[in-house]
Amino acid sequence: MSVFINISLQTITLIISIYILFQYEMSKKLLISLLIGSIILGYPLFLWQGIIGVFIMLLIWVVSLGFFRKKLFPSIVVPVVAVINLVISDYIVRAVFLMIKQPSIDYLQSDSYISMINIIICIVTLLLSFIVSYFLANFLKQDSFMRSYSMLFAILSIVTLVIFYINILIGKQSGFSDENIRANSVLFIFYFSILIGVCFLLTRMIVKETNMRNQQIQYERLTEYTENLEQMYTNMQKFRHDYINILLSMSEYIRAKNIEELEQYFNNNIMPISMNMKSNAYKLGSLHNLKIQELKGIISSKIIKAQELNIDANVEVVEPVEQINMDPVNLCRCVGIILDNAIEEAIHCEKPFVHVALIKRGGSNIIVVSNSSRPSTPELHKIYEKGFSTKGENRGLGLNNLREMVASCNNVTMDTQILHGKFTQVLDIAD
Amino acid sequence: MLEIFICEDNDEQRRQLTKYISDYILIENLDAEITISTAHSKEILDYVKANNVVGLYFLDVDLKEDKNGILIAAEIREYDNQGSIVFVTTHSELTYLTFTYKVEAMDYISKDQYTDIQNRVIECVDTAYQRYVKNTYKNRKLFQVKSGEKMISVDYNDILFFETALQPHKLILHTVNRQVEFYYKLKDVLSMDSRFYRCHNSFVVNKDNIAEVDIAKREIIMINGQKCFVSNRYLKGLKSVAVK
Repeated sequence: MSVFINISLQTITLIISIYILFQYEMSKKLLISLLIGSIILGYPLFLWQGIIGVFIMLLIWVVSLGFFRKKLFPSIVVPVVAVINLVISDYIVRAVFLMIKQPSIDYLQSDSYISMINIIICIVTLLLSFIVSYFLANFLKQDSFMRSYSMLFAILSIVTLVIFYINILIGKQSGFSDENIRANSVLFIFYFSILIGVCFLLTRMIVKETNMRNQQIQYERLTEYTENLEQMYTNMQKFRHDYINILLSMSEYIRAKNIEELEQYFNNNIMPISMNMKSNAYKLGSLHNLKIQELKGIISSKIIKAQELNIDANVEVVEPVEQINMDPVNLCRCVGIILDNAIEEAIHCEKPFVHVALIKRGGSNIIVVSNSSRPSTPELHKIYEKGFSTKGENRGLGLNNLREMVASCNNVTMDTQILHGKFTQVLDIAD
Repeated sequence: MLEIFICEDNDEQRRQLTKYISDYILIENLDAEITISTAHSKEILDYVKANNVVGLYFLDVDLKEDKNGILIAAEIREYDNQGSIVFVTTHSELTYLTFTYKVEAMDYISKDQYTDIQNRVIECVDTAYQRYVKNTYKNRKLFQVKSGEKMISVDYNDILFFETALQPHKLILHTVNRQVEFYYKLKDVLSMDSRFYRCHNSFVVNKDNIAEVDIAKREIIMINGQKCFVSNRYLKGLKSVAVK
């Protein structure tokens, strides 16, 4: 009976530390069913396989978490880390206990000793989970880094656990001595802290690298924008060069009172210039009112891309926009997704257009993107479904991502509308 | 009667604009009249302040006074939040979206040589008139909430359901062609109309737009095929509504 209680206690501890490591973001239903299921399974597994049973348990957790939470990496790492926590706490508590006093062999085998130490182990595990969850949360937040290194970390954590257990099994075969436990605990703690240290450094490095890459991209976009401005400037100069000539020739017609030819000349030579002024290069003009470099970069580069695709694209920034109350990286990602979607949809239209506007309205800044859409565009709720895309499988994370990003900011609201062949997305960011 | 206001400081253009509109009212025999046609925005503002108006306003953006058309529009909006505002401007660098979203302008007429101004004016009068008729005769009820600076108004008939977003107090309103987020409490939404029904802890559904209720899957299927959750304990109240 006491074995059953001890095993169940450890199982409950593990589940609760999984819950802690997930930052409490788990539905109550899942939590309770995991608790009950694991308690029922835990004891027979222990009787059947001994401590190796934990691996079977682990597999069940990973599969069920992966199934219900849809995200593979955290579902692997979190349970594994929880078990590592338990093993480490186990060793710490036993080592400390042995250091304090030297109990007799009989006492070590007694039920009361085992249950007492078990309770302490569980408490230490939970404490450790709180600490580790802090690191892990920081870790999981790094999106770009998760994509490239998540598998490495999953394998690393599994290997760590396997090494721990091999060590335990070898220790068990040769019989645990006090020395053995002490040596092992020092070894494990050492290993674990090195692992955490290395992970920490690695994360820092990768974050730095990502930042640098972002800056590089931003720099490229701004260069493109500058080139665009330069071209506009060259056009202006050309015009300045021409207009004296134009005036001279016009004055010649006027002096000769040749109104008919003047009219012809005006229509053929001067009107086209005014049309030219409306050309693409000038449509980015109002971006100078936008003082946020990152945003300016992404909007100009997307608009230029759209213009290259023969889309009627323009930007309106009537009042100076100096600050937008949103993390610049998130803001640029949101705007990037919106513009990409707008361009992709607009290409397919007969009269394609993409209009962007940044507007100050009361206490908030709003970003409006409006684009032409086909009559065949699917209904709004389908577009927002996870995994939906007009381009086939596995590409439609854009809008869903956008919604998640917006949901994580409590001063940002979104308004999406399809009406009369026009798709409009409004991002309202309160100051 | 739909009241029409014109504010344009170029006499010639104002005369033309007035003529286009009065001719059209006459020909189509519309229940509308030009209340004020002026060069000074103050006249219009005074009238709007003194009377309860839902009007159609043609405003020049660049007036020869210290206020520009956009500011005037914003002031008009304070007293007439359902009226239709149309900007008339020589600015050909398109600022259409800015007009639309800053003061919820209805339209924008460019005074350059490429535009058939008369035609565009008539279009605007038509749209505003239809809006006006719809509002008065059909007694169309609008769901209106103010969230921050944003005024959201949606026809009650178009509302499918409300859903709570992840952030506290943020709701998502779903209609067939719009999804809009705003700050409000689900409980307060529920009490706004008898059509609304609390079907889940985080959903309020418009009973009129339910196509069917799938009891086995605990889902409500709306008229556009969109799904909305229903929880066990609220299922009972729905049985009387639309179980098929």
